[in-house]
Amino acid sequence: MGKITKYLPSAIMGTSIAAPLAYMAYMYQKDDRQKQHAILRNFPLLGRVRYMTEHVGPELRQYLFADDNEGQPFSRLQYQDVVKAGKYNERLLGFGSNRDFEEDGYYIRNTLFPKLSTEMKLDNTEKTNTYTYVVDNEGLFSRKEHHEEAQIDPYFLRDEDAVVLGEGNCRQPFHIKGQVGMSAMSYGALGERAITALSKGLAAAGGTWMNTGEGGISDYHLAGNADLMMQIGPGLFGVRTTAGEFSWEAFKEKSEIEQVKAFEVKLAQGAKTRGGHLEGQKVTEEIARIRLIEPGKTVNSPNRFVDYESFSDLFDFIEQLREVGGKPVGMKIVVGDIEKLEEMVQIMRDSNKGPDFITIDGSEGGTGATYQELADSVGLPIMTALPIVDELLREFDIRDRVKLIASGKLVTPDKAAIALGMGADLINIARGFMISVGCIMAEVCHTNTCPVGVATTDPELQTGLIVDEKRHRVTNYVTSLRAGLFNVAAAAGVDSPTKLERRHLIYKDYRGRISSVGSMLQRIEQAEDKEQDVESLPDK
Amino acid sequence: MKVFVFGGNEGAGEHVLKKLAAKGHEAVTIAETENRAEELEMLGAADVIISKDGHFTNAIDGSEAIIYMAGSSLGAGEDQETLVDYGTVRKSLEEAQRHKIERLVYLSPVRTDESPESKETGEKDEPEEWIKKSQLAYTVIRTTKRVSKPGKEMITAKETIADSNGEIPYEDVAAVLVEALDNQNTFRKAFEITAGDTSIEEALDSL
Repeated sequence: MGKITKYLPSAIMGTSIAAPLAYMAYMYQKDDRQKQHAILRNFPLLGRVRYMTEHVGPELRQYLFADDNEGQPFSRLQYQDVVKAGKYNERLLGFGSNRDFEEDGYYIRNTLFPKLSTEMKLDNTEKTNTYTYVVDNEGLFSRKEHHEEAQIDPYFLRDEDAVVLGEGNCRQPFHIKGQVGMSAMSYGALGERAITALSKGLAAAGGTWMNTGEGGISDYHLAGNADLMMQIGPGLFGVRTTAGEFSWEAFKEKSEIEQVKAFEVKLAQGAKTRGGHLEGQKVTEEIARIRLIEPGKTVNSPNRFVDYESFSDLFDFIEQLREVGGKPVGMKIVVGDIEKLEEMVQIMRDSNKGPDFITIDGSEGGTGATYQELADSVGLPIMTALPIVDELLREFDIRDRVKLIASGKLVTPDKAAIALGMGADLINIARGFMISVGCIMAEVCHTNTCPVGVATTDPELQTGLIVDEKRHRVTNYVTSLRAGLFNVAAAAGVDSPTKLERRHLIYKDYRGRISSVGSMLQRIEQAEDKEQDVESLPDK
Repeated sequence: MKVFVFGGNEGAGEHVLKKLAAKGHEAVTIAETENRAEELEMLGAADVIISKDGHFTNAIDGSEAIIYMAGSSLGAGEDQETLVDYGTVRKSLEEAQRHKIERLVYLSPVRTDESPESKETGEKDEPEEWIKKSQLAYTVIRTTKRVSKPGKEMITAKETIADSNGEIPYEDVAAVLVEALDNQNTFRKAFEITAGDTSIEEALDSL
């Protein structure tokens, strides 16, 4: 007994020094002998610092070193704008803008005689009940705030300004009293809690929609009773036979769900011009039931609808979907091949067929998982793609029967307003809504380890996401976006954001020179006239 | 009942129009612009008179009661409270008397927790005094702080409310005004309301 008390302190001391030393020695020889990394062979142990620092770089940059305007896909400020709109239903800032005014960019042309708030064509008759945060006191180390009930104005469009999909072309057209909705996000890509919060929040806000993503309609999409747009991708999830064929029976069943207001056939997605891959271990019983696939089996979906290789095939399919479902049918595209699009629009005019709406996904659009080469360089960004489609439809005089939905980082009212001016009727947002349910841009959506339980189906990680708190942020965010659109419209001198046009926009370059935002197609043609055709040169 | 509503633009005003319509009353009110008139009709106003200067003389004809929400001037922007122009209030009410309207529900701009000096600022309390001396079957209602929160249909109504931190949603203020309209127990009474735990009907009956 006496011996133990005598030697114990020095034994503890000894091991606490010797053990780390032994561990370091072990790591040293391990680094020294491995063949993978040159830096570790030359600088054992010390070289590890490089890897550790590289690993925590994104976090350090995001929180400590990056400028408020730096950072992709969203800068710190853009992120904060979204979060604040959700928490406080407010978009006010002090002292002035932090935008870099030296840079090239679109600006909204304000009029000298803006519209008064009493002149705006608004519908605030039905108030929205929600919760917002109120800051009591903010100090260096803490912020005291409380959550309280609030009744807010919904900022709906008037009935006569409502955007109608499939008007006069199907049995149940979809009337939408707001211009902002949720872009495609499947259950599986996002967890059940995130989808539930989104569904409930959007339903409470009203005048909006929720795109199910190609993963089909889950109970979580239905949880809040929001209006749904069901997406049909090449994998045909939710509308297929077990053999992988399109199932009209399953489709009819889906079209009879009251919340489903429209269908969207997905030809391409901005960041993902490729087929999907769903790992067998992710195919749970539930996912299998929703997607109509076999549990536990890996599914590879093709990068296009195998059965349709021409526009007339595709349009026949769309016609049939509309006929059977009775609801508007649109399609989602990424713009790249302008000649092919022109052909498409011509066929639409000549055959009097085609989609009721076209969702144009800018190449800057997000995704849970894709390949870098496709995300970065395939397809055109939204502010180029959108006016091209808008102009083509106008050129062939069918713009009135096709509505345009734009997406691609349009997470704040000013960006959304510019897209409306560029020809969009409606705006799709995905990542903005993810941020409103708690996304912190950790950029690990493809790993199922989302630290805030948004882009993961892991039940443990999801316990962090409280549906009843986040749902109100969704409501506030979408309402705040609509309010912001009316703000911009008033400044531009029109009484509704539905009236924003190309003439309300202007483009300023880094030299301070401005250019009008005129016809994109004419620009291309003029440039082509001046240019020498590469094909006229000898072959390489 | 045909009810003339002054102050349809104010926070509680929109709810008043909606609740009047829901109860089968016919609400008539004034708007400054065509666009605003459209909105008020969407809310449930049966008839909206467009008048830039608040002139309403003939429009008030045939109304059986008045709901007067003082505290906003016509056409003032959202949430823009101005000191009540008591001259206008009095003129309007005299006009009403000439048209033989006897029933008046008056939402006072004076808050329950205001100091005597504050009550007198801009002679905010003057119309109340005038109403009490008049022959009208009046109901004068003061509230605690009015807030944009969902209505609960539960209030406390008393002659004076001491709670200086109290608040009441606009929606509930509107519900009280509409409920008081044909509740004889509120005739020739002035009282104060705040959010509470009694149903509106019960609270008004037990005044």
